[in-house]
Amino acid sequence: MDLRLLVKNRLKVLRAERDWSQAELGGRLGVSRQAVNAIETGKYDPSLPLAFKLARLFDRKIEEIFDDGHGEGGHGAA
Amino acid sequence: MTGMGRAAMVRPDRDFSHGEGERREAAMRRTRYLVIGTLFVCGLGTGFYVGFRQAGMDFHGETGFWSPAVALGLIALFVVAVAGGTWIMSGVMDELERARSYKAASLGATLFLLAYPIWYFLWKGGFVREPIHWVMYAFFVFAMLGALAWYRVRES
Repeated sequence: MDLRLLVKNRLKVLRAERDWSQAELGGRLGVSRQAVNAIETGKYDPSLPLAFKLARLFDRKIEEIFDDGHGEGGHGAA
Repeated sequence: MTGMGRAAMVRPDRDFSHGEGERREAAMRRTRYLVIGTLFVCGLGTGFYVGFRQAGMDFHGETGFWSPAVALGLIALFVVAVAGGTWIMSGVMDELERARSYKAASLGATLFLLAYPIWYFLWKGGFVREPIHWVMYAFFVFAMLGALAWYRVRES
């Protein structure tokens, strides 16, 4: 099973709330605009350190940004 | 996840002024292009030097051997360029680019692992000529670069 297919995220929404471009977010995270785009579109799952950095940046829990479908209210929850 | 999930201890990046992130991203991109461009020019220069030198020797009907000093000098240059370039690149690439590089190198190595024995057995079977070392090397390099380009296109 390819877990990458199951992990969704709210990055685009959170970024839009702050009126940040992908490059702006990338610069704040220390990654490229392409990396932000790949994460947003679900083509790349970030490492745990980068996920924590995102959580810190948006002041959210990691599971409030990323959803593997098995968390509370996730798309795979019973 | 409880306390660790909300990592609220240090938030230096949130203190950026608006637009600072874009400037920082642009600066990182420029550095990356500068490093890649420098390595590319070094590789191109060395390649042309070796190619023209060998072509000139072939034209004059000279032996295919170089002086030991030239050979050792090129080895030193190559080792420094590859090792130094890898070290510098690892400092300027982000985790996505690193992951792509690992996958591309892995794919290139797997293809090389298959290509050489296949060519060797075909040669032994009388189907093709003997494996050519520089063709194998070029195949590995281009397979790796092709895979890297493919991953970039697919994930962008």
